[in-house]
Amino acid sequence: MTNENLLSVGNIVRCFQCGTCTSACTTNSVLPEYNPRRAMEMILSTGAIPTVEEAWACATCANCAERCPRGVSAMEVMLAVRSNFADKAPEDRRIMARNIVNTGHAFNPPDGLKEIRTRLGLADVALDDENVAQVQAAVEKAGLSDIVRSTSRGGDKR
Amino acid sequence: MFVCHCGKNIAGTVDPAAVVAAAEKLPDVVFACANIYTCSESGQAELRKAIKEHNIDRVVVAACSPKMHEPTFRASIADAGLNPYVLEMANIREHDSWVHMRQPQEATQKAIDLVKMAVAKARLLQPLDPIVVPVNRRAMIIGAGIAGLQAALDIAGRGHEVILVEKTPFLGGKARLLDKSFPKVDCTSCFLSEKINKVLMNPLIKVLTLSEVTGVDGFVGNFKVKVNRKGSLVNEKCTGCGKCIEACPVQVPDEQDLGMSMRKAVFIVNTPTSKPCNAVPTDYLREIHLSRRSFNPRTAVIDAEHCTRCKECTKVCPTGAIELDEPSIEEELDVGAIVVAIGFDMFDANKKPQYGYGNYPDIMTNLELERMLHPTGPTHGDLRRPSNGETPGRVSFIQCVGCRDDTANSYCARVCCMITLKQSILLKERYPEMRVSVYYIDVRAGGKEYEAIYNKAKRLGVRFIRGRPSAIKSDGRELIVQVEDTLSGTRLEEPTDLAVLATGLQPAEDTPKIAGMLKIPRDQDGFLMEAHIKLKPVETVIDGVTVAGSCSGITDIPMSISRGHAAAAKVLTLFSKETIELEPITSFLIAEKCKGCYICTKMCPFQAIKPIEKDGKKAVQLISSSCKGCGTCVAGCPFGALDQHHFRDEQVMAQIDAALEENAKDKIISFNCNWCSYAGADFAGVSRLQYPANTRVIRVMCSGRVSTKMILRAFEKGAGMVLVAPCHPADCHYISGNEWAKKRVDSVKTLLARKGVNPDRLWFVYVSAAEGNVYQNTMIKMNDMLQKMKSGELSWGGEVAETPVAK
Repeated sequence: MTNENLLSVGNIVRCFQCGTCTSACTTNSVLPEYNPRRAMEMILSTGAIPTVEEAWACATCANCAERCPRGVSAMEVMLAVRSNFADKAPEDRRIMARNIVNTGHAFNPPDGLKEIRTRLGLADVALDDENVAQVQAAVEKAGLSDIVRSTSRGGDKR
Repeated sequence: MFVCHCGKNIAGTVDPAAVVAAAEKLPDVVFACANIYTCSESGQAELRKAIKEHNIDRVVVAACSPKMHEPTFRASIADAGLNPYVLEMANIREHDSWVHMRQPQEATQKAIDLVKMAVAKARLLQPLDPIVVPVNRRAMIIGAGIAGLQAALDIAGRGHEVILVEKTPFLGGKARLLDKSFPKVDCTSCFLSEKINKVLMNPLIKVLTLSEVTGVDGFVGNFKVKVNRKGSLVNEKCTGCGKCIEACPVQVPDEQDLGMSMRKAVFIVNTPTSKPCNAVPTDYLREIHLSRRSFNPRTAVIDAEHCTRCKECTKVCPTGAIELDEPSIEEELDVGAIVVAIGFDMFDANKKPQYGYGNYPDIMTNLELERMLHPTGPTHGDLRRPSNGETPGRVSFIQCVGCRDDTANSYCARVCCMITLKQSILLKERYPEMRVSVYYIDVRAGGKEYEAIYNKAKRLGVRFIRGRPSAIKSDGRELIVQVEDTLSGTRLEEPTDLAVLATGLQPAEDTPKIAGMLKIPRDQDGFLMEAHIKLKPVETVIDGVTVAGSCSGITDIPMSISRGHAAAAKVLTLFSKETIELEPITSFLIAEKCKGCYICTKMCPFQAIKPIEKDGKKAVQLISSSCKGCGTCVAGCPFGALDQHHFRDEQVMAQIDAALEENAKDKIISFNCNWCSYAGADFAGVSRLQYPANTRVIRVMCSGRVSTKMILRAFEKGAGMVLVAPCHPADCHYISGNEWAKKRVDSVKTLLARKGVNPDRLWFVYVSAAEGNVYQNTMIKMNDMLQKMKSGELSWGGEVAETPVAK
């Protein structure tokens, strides 16, 4: 990915640095280092590309795009960076991905959930083998298997 | 034949030497040259010299849009002794070099084609004499705001009668709501009431309050305007004593205070309403003024909408001035010129719910704050928090509410920064301890003495925080402005006692209605469009109709007054003569061909064609002075018994043939109406919107002029595609020409289908003068379809002439 690619994402060239995105940003309210306005400015003026850490800090709440008076979406920019550097995604996110491939869920259902649900007359949340196979086939087809497998830790087991 | 470089504007893309070389080879062209600027004095001198030296009798100038410089060159060739109507322009700038900047070769080829078309038409042009009509030297001004008042004073000051039409019962527009105004931060009513008094005292100015324009007919020098006048329900016997107000039991929110205070259904204004305009002698107003011997004629007005007709007021009125059953009247007034000064509206702050307006009482708009600071306002000039009536210790201004915002108005309204600076200064001067904060994106203080106000505000200690708040919230106790200070990159949550939304300004609600009645196009932001922002400011495409004040784009008070002067100057130029020359582009009758079918009489929206009987046979009579020159009847006549000067059938056909002489299949013939789509294509040029270079535009006055024969001729000659581009449905400058065009195009499509030609090759797209992008997209889409037909993906249908048939 080059800076030039990013300039066509999320209307970024229309940004006029008003800071509406930052003050509307969910992440910024708890993590001041993540500043979408500044990220846009760096892309536009210095040719920088947001770091993978920044891109994954975005909560994808879309408040920035919703409030922006210029139709810019910092979220889309962050998503573009994530996609482009998917192989460099943080470890914990890749573990989540692996969980999805293995079980259909990002997190394994907590212990005891199945019993509670049974008591309440609800179905088990775990996917059956056929569904899991479909997820895996989709991941395979999309060419994501390598990225998903490249975690150092094993992730949750089914 | 003269080719203009227009500096680099044309020569940067098109090769003028190649165009000259091609023009020289055309039959009948005796002289061709290129000039750096043909419109310059030296360029025009060359033109006049060549006309004389080469005994030229038809002139083609390939340059900018004829809407720009046709009058210039007409005057120039007239100086050289030619009839002004033997000029034809090829638009190789707006329709060529500016829209094909990345295709210089194609653009040059197109320029050659456009010149060829212009020469083909020029060869057939005929000298014409202008039509001379009298000018009614009485002006109407719509809107009695500051700009309208100024225009009225100037026109009346030169001795002409003025009718000033105002929708509300008040004079002074929005300015009358203001306490102080920038740049001097001086009293608004001091200069406003002076102008109002002068208007009221001037016997030549008839003020019609509570009146609205409901229809406009006619043309420059000779307009007929329908005005609906609501009764004020109070006659001229009123002395303004105010007893009726005490008696009135009805309470309604006062619009002057934006609903922050209440008024009765009867109230006092400073403007007497006058009797029917046409029935009353000129000195009527003077009489009533003199009888009151006052510069401030006070009179009561009853708000007919809220009045319950309880008649309590009639019981107490000492002079019997109240007439509760006074009807509204409709008058038709004859005027020679119209000044539109309908002003602006404030952006509705409710449309930005993140700022909490309407939700929290202590969030108000800048105009509401203005009323509060005004001595006649709801708090008589004291700033109070609406929630508890206390003076706020902290006031926050939020800039750009509804401006520079793609989800509201994308333009900058220019004055809101100055309003905030002014108000912040007033606050700091009255309440030095108050913390006044301004949250801004950019402070735009561009204007004479404006920067000084910014400096003054800073000096007085107003805080400026560069950041656009994303929301104003409440934590249950106080309001919190959520913003990033973008200069330090710090997220702030600043508590405040009062938040003021600097709402932007936008076109007045009535703008579309007025634009529709007067046939003035609106720009992309909805404002009335001037004919040309530099060549013809304050003028519109409709001769005799000018614009003043904020209705054509936001202006501050000094500029509104200047533009009132400017509009008046244009009216006075028109009024300086007793007659005016109109373009002689009317229809004419070839009587021997008329079969008396009367189709044309039904098409003409101006009743310019009358059915008659002549020698016992059905025939028609054409009244040239009523003809507006759309040519719809010409296109509609099945027998060729009508034609139009300057847009004759043979002239347009020659343009079509010339355009399609080579590579016809690759080309798109685009019939553009003079007022909307031609101007729209020009706008695409001015905006440098790029599209494929295979378009060949043929200008007609109205899409109604495009006949079945013309469209079929284009296809016979092998045109790839044809576009008919009219004004939007209600915007036709000739009332209904575009409706006839629609019907005609529909029937031609059926005809094409019957002939085996793919009817999708004929397009019909509405393009307004502001829709350069629509024209661009249409051209791109039409070209896409053309390419699909060329690649065999879509069918041309029927026989497509590979090489055009020579005539």
